[in-house]
Amino acid sequence: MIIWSIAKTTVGDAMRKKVLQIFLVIAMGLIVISLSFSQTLTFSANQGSTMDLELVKSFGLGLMALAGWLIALVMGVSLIPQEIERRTIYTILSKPVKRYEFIIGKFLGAILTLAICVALMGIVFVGVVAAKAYLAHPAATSIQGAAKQGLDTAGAAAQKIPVIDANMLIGVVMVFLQFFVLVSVVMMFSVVCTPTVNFFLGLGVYIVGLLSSTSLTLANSKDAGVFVKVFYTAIHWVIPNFDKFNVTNVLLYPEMPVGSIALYTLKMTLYGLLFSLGAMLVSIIIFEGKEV
Amino acid sequence: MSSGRLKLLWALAAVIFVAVIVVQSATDPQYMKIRKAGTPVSSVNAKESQELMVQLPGQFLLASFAGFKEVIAGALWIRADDFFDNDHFEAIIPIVRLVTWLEPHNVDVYSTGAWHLDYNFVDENQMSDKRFIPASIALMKEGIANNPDTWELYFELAWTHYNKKLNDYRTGLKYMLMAAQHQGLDPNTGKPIPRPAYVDRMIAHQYEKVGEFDKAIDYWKLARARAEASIGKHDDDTADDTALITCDRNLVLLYLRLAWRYGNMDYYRKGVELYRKMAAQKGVTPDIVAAAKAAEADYAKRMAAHNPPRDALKPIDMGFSVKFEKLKPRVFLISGALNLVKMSEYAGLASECVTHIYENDAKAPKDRRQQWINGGRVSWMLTDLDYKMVIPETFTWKVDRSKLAVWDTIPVLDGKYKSLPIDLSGNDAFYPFKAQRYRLVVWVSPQEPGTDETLQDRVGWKGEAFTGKYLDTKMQPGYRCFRWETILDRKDLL
Repeated sequence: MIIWSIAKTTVGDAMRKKVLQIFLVIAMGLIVISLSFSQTLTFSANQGSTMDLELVKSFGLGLMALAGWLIALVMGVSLIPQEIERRTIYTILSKPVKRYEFIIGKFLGAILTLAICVALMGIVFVGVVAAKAYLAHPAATSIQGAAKQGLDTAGAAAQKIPVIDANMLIGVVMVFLQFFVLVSVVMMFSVVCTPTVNFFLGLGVYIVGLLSSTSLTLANSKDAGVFVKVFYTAIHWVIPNFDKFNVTNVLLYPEMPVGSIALYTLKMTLYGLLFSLGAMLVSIIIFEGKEV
Repeated sequence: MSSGRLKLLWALAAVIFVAVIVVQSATDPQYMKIRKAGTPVSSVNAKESQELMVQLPGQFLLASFAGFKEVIAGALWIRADDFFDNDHFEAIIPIVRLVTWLEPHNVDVYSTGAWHLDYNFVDENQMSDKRFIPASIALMKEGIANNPDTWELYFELAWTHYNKKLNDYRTGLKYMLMAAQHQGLDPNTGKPIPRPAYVDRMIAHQYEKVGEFDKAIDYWKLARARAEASIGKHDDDTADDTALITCDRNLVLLYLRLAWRYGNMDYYRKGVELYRKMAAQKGVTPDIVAAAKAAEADYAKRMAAHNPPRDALKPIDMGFSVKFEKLKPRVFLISGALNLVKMSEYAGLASECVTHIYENDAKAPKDRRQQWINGGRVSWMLTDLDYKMVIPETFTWKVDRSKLAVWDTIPVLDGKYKSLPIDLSGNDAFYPFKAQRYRLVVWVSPQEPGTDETLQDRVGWKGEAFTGKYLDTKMQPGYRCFRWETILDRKDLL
């Protein structure tokens, strides 16, 4: 119950932050505006169909990722230092609240806040994609409609654009998972670092994590020396592989022969959960020994 | 927390870390597949890649590495649209390059980029710059390499480039056949969906174009069978019925024309039988019923009289002549005569039973009667003497504009043809005339896409009726064409 109370308070505090609200509103606004980006396009071989839709999807997923990244960093870096700065932590810890309960509550609150933000953006995004699919080719959403437009029947199936694209839901989940891991990392740092230091540390870890294909290639390189191999293997294992959550290209072009993306999402969910659990445990251990 | 519990937590953290590594290793192979699939095949060479890096604004570069490359691609594409609206056509090509680099599986960008290269670089006469065609073909081939499992780009390459731009129907057929080996892909699920029926129909037309009539017949049957098989599989069958009628009608006309033009009565019989079946169908248009009856009557009459038609095998002297004039420096006129074809040539043709061209003209008031069947075209090409079109192995937008390569067609009207003034004077950079010697070729091909089918009823698919000066049988093996060539000096043009 104590953990849940701390989590709820954390969510409330975070959601009241003006900066977070602004990120959220701007991101949702831009996702809606992206609906109109392609409306004026004249330079396209396939106006009003898949090209326009792909544009809206890629913009939406990209904007969500950008906003999620900012929200995760800005929220994550300050959650614990803020309690120390405001000295509210003394009040909390003077009550029958264990330190690990405080950390777990904070983690849970941060993740819930992120989930709420991504869910809000996700609902707007999926709605926008559905609207675009419906508006782009209202007649072509059915084979009869395509036939009315004079398209070949065999080709009519090719023009059929479903309003709901399951891949976009996977995209939203992947955005959440990516920043779920980032929040865990920056919260772990926030136990020992000031918000400014933590911000840049988090940023650095995120950038290195985006280069996971490079670290993996170097770790497996036949030509690389032992030191280089060990170094990059360690980097690849220790730093969260943020790039692995980045599957927008596959989601936009599902014809790519990359195996089951649903199974990959499941594996990445497990990876995200384990990494965050590990980060939370380390935070608890450090916080137990920390003088506040 | 007791030290024992802390130790336990450390141990738990270590176990989780090992589990993270295990899960991570399990995702590595698929992750590398995903990264590889997102990397374009044979897209940019090292030098061009470095130039792209310089041209890509810093914030775009950073963002493309930071996992937002699809957003960048979208933003760049919108920028390309701005450039297009403001006629900054040159600026669009590097954007096409960047977008295909960032999103190598976006088929539309390849086809739009190729269309842009093919059509939008025009001179003062609105004549497209043909020197961009090799770049356009290279872009399409790169698109195919990155998207080999869908029919669209094979079809575009076949239709736009080899059929419409280069009149290389053999290569067009090759790519069209490749298109027919692939289905479409659902943009949302990536699952195969049927390719449009017109792809198969185009192959039949292509075979006809290259003179392989038996294969054309086979493909019409195959296209029909495919359309028939799809009836009932979709919610709406109307378009399938239309596809059946399209296949039947084209097959009938192919049979009949093979008979009319070359006298094969077996084909005539098959055509008449199929026409009869078509005419018996419900809801068929009256013109099909009338044409079927007329063809049947003509067939019966000819069989009785042992008189197979061989309309395309009766020679006509086409009286082809060419006149090249320099109106002023860099402005030329090409004109001449070509007997393609007098109305009187249609009197008594077998095709008259269906087309009624001569008959209808004879019924018209005298002042409205036509002396000629128009619809043919003469082609011309002016190039540097040593010009050879080379398709680059990798796409590059750097086109050598110091070379001259310009070509177009001129319609034949009433036995004559005359180009509009070919004005290459407006822009020195567009047509620099740097070479010392130039080649001007003027030719007539029965394969020319603008050639009317009724003209072919008299001269044949392969120009079998063509005789006269400048007859050329080497330019297109198996075909009778007319070809006139002259070598011009720089001073003849400037």
